[in-house]
Amino acid sequence: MSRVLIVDDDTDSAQLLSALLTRAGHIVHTVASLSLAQAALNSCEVVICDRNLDGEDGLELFATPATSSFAGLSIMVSGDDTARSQAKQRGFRHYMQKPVNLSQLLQVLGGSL
Amino acid sequence: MAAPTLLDEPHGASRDDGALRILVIDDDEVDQVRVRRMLGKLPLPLPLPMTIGCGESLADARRCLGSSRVDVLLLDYMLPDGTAAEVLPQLVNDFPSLAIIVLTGQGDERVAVGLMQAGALDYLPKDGLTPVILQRSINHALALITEKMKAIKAAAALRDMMAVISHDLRGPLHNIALGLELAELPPALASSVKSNITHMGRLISDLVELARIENHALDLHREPTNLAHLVRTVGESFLPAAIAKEVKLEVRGGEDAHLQADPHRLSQALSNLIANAIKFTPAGGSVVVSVSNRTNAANACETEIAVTDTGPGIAAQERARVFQRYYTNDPKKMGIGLGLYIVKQIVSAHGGRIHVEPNLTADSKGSRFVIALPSTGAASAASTFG
Repeated sequence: MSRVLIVDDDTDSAQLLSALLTRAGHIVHTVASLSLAQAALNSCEVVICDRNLDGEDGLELFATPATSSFAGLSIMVSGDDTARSQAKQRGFRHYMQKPVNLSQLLQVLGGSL
Repeated sequence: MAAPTLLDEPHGASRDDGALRILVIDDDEVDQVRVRRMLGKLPLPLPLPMTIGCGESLADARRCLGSSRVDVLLLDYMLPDGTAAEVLPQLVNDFPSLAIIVLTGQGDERVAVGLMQAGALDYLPKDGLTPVILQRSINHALALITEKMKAIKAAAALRDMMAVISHDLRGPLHNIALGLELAELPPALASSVKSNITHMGRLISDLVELARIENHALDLHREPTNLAHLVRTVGESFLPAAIAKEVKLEVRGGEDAHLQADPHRLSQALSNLIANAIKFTPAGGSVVVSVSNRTNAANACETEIAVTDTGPGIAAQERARVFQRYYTNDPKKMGIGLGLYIVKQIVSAHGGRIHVEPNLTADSKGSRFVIALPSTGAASAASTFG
């Protein structure tokens, strides 16, 4: 069981993923913007961040002094695969393209459905 | 001989005055002056006022084209540093909006055809050249270029749109996939919905990849890659799909095979091949994915990935066509005919080759798709990548 932060401006996506991860036994918190994510980041063990956030770039999540040392598990989710290597450079440990393979996601989280 | 007057020199009209900018390149001073005089005496005004520059060599032409906008290039065929035929393809590629007309001392049909094929819009013998002929040629060339630029713009807009649409299709598809997990459908139903989601994901990937290829933007992010590992991972991800179709899928990882490759692009290529193989193999049949190292005729290391099925096979006369864009022989018309075209583009971008041959291990049925990629082999890899 982990405390998971979902960062996504698409409420459908955030709700569905939140429900799934809750069912898998995780404690989930969802936010829709980078600033809220950065404020909540250090109270979580896992962050799942969408790339395109209403005018903001998810790649910037770890760009502030307070978030750059985040030691938890970080996953970037995106509609395209163009930012894969950039995401790695910006501190994301995993990169998953939509539609995300759920069993793979849960495997990464160390849980099961 | 007079120094070249290039269009970017500061005298005369200002640089972007909206004038039609014509560059005359001829090493014969008499001819050059004659053409410039004719330009001054065109019977009808051109659609725009005109600025004329001149030079005497291909190097002059390049310098001028590189430093300022030129609309029309009147290029002598034979110049001290080469012929028009030699530079045309490169010029057309570098300056797509440039109208190139070649002038020559002696007419020769064969040369003319060659020049037009290489991208010249017209070919004018200098003997008998008149202002009327010159004007007709320039107007015609400008009309052709206008059409060409319109087509290029429309194609680029379409490709951009395709990329955006493809990207935007993934969001909803992702949500549907998540919803499916929550819905707790009976396993058989869930698996069929899941395979449709996967299929649609692959179609979107193909569209994105096509847009990239057409935009010449198939940029590879190469990294040290163990092909055997990649083949195992991709192959095994198809086990559920194979089981659902009652096709026996065997993945032979084989020996390690290392190369500098883009693992995501190669995974996509391999996914397309395996998905096809499973699709065309009837229940009870088998699909084998294998990887092996070999030395080719030129004594270079190659890694061969083969996907062998027991489907209906591909007729000999069809084999060359299957890698063409929009080719499909899917009876259910599920595909859009991009899969194998994309596989070939990805393999080519890696410096590899692909072909299809009959599956000789089956009873004269089935196909074997073979990708050959240049590699560092297995032995040398141990020291390179640990």
